[in-house]
Amino acid sequence: MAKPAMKTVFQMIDAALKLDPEKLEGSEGVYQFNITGEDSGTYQMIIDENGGKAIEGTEKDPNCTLTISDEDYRDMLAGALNPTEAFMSGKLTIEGDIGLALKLQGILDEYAPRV
Amino acid sequence: MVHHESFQTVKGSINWDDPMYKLYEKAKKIGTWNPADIDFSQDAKDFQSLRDEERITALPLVSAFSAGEEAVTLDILPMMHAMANQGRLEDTMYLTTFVHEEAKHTEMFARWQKAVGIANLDLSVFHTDSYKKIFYEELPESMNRLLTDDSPEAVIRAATVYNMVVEGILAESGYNAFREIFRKAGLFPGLLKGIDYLNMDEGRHIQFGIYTIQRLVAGNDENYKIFNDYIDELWVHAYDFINYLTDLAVQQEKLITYESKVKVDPNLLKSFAERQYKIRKSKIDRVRKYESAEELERAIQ
Ligand SMILES: [Fe+2]
Ligand SMILES: [Fe+2]
Repeated sequence: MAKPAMKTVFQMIDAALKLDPEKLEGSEGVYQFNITGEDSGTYQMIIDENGGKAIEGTEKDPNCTLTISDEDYRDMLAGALNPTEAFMSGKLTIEGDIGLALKLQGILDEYAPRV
Repeated sequence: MVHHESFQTVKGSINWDDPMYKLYEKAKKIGTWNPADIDFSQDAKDFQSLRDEERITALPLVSAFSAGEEAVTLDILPMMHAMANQGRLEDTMYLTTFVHEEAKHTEMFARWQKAVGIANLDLSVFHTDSYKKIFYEELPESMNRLLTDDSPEAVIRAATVYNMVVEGILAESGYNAFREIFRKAGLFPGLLKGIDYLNMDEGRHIQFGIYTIQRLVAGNDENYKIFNDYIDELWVHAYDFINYLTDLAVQQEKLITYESKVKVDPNLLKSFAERQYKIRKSKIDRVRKYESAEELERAIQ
């Protein structure tokens, strides 16, 4: 089966965030993803008091920016690579609030489509 | 100083009882360790044995120290330049050991990072705005001012940010954190040994800063105010960074969902830093009772 495009992946995350926003408390912030590689693009995951959403492009100033390749990001969503491991191995670079970036682990566990 | 008027060791001698000279003697005797001799092989094994969530606990501290030691290595020269221009022979002699020691500290952290395999990891993400305010801005600005201005105010500000805040508060709190976390966990014996050596060197460095500020503050309330205002101003940023480190450590700990030896007590680390801040202030405060620098010098020699 062909993998869904990165754009679709973020749409799936968006739907999951909106469906079940309860578990987002304490993770408020703007996460920007700079995805590199064949299926490259810029996306934001915005979590605030109203809940969460994921969008293509940029809407707000990010609190943390994560740069990662499309393949490594798919591994991360599949649970084969966690953000800490990705950072420690140099596959993920983080700019801005690393404390927030570390919370991604919990968010992805809850909301990532297993693609 | 364009020409020399005379030479101290020709007309007379070195002031062998000068506290700065005594620091120089101590440095020659005690400060002889070589970072290249420290065995980091167990550290490398320990690092390998840890899982990523545990490993990352060491990084914010290592990142703060690597940059910190590099910054103080690069930024100390103007102090030496100022002391030499003022004809302070004993201070200048002591500072020759100081420069060399900071270089060794930079080397020690770089060697450790290489030994455990993280030399190429960019750790600058851990430098927050408050860290940058101190290490990227205030430290080089206050030190470089000494190249053109060696007034009491300039010397006090330089020694305050360099010796009292960076060394006296932040580095001391950092050593304590390394020990609290890794000695208790039984990890990284090489790094802890290096920290012990560093800590001894830093004791002398801080002493240099204390004497330097003390003799300008004795009998001079205006100079005392310069010190006191500046350390209070910098403390806000220092404490903010320590808060960031402890908050981050708490978050990192949450990611460790398995049994781990790596544990962090944020309150212990914060109260240690607060204590350092109070100690530095009281060391300067206590010389206000002297009428002048000469009276202070007579009292301590
Ligand atoms: Fe040092
Ligand atoms: Fe030092």
